[in-house]
Amino acid sequence: MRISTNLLSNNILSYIQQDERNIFWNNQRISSTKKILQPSDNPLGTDEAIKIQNSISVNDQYETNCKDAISWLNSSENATNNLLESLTGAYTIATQGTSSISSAGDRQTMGNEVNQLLEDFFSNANSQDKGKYIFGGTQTLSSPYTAVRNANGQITAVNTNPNSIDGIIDRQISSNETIQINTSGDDIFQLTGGGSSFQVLINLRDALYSNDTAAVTTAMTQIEEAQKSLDNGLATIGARESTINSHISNIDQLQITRKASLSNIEDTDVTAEAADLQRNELALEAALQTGTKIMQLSIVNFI
Amino acid sequence: MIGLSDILNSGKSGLFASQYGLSVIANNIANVNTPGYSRQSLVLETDTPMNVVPGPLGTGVRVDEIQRASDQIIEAQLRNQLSLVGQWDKSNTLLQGIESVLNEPSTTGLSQALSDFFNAWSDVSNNPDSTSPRMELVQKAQALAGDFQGLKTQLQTSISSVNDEVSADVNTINTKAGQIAQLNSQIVQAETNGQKANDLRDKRDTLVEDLSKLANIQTVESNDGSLAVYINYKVIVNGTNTVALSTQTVNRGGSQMTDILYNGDTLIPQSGELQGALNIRNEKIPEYMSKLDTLADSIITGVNNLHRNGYGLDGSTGNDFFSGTNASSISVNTVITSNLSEIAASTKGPSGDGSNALQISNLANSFTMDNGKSTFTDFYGNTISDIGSASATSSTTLDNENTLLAQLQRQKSSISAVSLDEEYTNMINYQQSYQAAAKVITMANSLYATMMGMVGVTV
Repeated sequence: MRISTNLLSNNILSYIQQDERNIFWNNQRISSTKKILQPSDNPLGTDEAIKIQNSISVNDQYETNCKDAISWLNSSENATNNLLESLTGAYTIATQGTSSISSAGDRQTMGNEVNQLLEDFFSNANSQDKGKYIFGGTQTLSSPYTAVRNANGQITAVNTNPNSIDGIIDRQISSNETIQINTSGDDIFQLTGGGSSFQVLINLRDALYSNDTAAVTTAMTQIEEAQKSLDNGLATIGARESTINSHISNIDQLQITRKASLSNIEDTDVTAEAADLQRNELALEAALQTGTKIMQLSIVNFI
Repeated sequence: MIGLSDILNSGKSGLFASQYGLSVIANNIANVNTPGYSRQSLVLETDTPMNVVPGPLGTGVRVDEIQRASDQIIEAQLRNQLSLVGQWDKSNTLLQGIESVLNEPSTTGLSQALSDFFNAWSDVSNNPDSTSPRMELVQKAQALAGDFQGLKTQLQTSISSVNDEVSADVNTINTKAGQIAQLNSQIVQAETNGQKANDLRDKRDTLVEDLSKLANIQTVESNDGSLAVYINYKVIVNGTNTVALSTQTVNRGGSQMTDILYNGDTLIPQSGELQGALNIRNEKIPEYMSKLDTLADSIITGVNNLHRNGYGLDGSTGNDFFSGTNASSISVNTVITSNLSEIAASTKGPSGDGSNALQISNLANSFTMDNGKSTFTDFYGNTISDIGSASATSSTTLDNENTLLAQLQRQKSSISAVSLDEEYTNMINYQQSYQAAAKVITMANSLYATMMGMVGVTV
């Protein structure tokens, strides 16, 4: 094959440019830490990366939802425990109240104590989590329970906000699971035989004020029922907390796996890339050195 | 009977031939870097001999012709390859351009905006009674709409730039066709005396190569040296006549597209840059725009259907969340942006009910695309992957075609290009033959002087 002057120089040039191109892309991949700089670098990988990224995003949201749920459930648990404490206290006082040792005057004092417990109970029934009423169903912005008071400021009746107090509040904890987080006021404050826990405490207080030991005894039985409702409520809350907590740790585990997969697809293997870069740099050096030597050779030098 | 003048004539012919040779070499050396230049060489022949006895006796050297080193078969293959390279180069450039605005895979592209949008609905469902998740939602929705619109705009811009290129290329083709026609007349004239118009032919070959980059070219040379040139087997140069291409802009699929016309009919070259550009503009870009539109429309419809049936914080219902029907027109309903309470998070009405927002958020997991087989993200991922594949294919094919082109160029260079070393060597040859011929003339001159001296004339 006959070699012309331009053939030699063009050839050298094209190899030098090829080496420089390779070095350029090595550099890009190292400094951006991504080996997929555009979809054509790895079309299938890009598709997978998009899907995994979405999955990570969506699961981060599920975790947020779970944590929000836990906050609500914790508030519910605290409130329910406080409610139970009030009832336990009331029961103890009622026991004393039925004793023949107590006098009418004692019973007055006890009545006052029960009134205080009633106020506590009522207050806890209107508990809030982050500004939202937790026992009010989906009516989260208005208090679920309102008190009717007499001239002395004492509660004579407690009314339920009629709207949506049994509404369900759900949180999405996975792509196909929602979990109810709220405890319905109806469930925990209603007694199976009818009537509410509020009424029970009102009855007890009034019974003590009117020195009616028979009524006090009745109230004690009712308190036991009220405690049962609250206990059931507490159990449900506990179960929900447990489910959600295990979801959170599942999500955490899977997110680690997902992020590892994503990194595998997207991120530059810096060691391999750096080795490649070194190889290409050597090639470029060699091409430059030999190229210039060859281009300087001419018969004119020898004439 | 031979005489001294015959010796003189032989010497003289040698001198002229060497001079001619040196001129041709000078021309070659001067044109070593001229693109498209084919090296020229002298074809020497012995002059007509004299019929004498003893004999016949040679009368010296004659320059027969100046030959140009050019192989028309390689030239034809080269033109073909230039068309292929042009086609894939243009495709590759356009596809890479589209890819670069996609910004995928990344955490700042449309796919992330999509995830963020549906996650924002989830936040609203967690706190349907407060304002700030609603503000976030509107922001994310506007970001998503913006991304859709941005991509559509970029694709439209690609179409416009192809239109501009088509117009410019058609002008170039017409101009070069005119130049070829002119060269045809010059070459025919120059070759009437039987000599080849080498430099003019080099120029014409270069013009045809330039045309080949843009479209697939066929050529037919006639006996008088004139070259007829065709695109897609339709004649654009015939002797000194040309047929000009024109352009026409029409609206196809909602975009303005500039077509090439030949005598009123649409012309799509089968290879060359114009083929690459037209293929991407007419087929690929509309396909991608259509996919974006389908995705946007599904999102708009899905969200709006659920949203209309839900209730806002202020009890409002029946509102659309999105306005628009496709990726260019998608936007958040101004009713919503001016009053965040009208975001219908609730299915039944109370402030704490976020179940409608929950349903909308769950659309992201539903198989809403491809007849119930893909989610929004699946569909988008596939679209991006398709674009990536097309670009990767064009890139690989371009590399292959470039390798073949380099090979053909090497072959052409081997035949036609100047080698300085070769020219220097030939130069030495002709220098020496010039000196030798000069010596012959000197010798013949001294013989004259001797002869004159013999008959008594002082010279």
